[in-house]
Amino acid sequence: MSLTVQTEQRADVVVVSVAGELDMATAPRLQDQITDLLEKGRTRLVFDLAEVSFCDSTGLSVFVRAKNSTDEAGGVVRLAAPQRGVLRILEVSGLVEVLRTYPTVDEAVTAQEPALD
Amino acid sequence: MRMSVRLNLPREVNSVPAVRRLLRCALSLLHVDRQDGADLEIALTEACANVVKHADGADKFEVLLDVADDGCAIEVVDQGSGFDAAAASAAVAAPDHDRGRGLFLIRALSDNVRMDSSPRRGSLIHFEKRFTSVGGTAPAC
Repeated sequence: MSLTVQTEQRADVVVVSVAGELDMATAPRLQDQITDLLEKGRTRLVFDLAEVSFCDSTGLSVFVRAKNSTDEAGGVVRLAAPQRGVLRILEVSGLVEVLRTYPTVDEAVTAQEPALD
Repeated sequence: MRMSVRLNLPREVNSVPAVRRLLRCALSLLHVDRQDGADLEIALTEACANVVKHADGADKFEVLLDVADDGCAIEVVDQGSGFDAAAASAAVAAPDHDRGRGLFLIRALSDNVRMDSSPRRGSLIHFEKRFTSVGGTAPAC
């Protein structure tokens, strides 16, 4: 099974739509795409996870790394529309507190950051 | 119904999704609750990923799936150079750490977890899960 990654500029963020199973076999593909975006100065990223049917700790690591990189660059990482299983691993790992997660892509795109973090 | 499957796999990245799909098929045949199945899929994926990452010196590893109506037991065994099972038992990684969550997740998502590892004997990760209910909508395999 493969993983597909598509990107689209929306308002002031790039929506990165991920589809498939995210594990150590597929995570490098997403990591490459993120590295590419960061190199181009795109540091405001919304990950559309609606089509991600599985995510393990390697997948989580990709999002944590993206958050750490965009934090340094003054950007943001938001997760959108995770399926139940992906939401569960975010909760169990405690990362749901760290990686801002929204029920829909629209909400993630239009979300306002707190004035001071 | 009860089935046992012993798998002998090459120690490579592509074995990880392959084993997960086999487990998914076995669980769907037994109509295991979707949430229980999803937790087991993550735990098995993490155990196999641990072998691929850390079992240096081994070119194969073994997975034993024992699936019944009321629960499932899984063992992942390799003859590699071992990992630090004590360190792996520690608490969850800090929120900004981008590694070190795999074995924590196995403990969080399954029962009766046993990890044994030494450079001479290789490693074994054993875990189980009691199924909360039978007859949920299992994902297609």
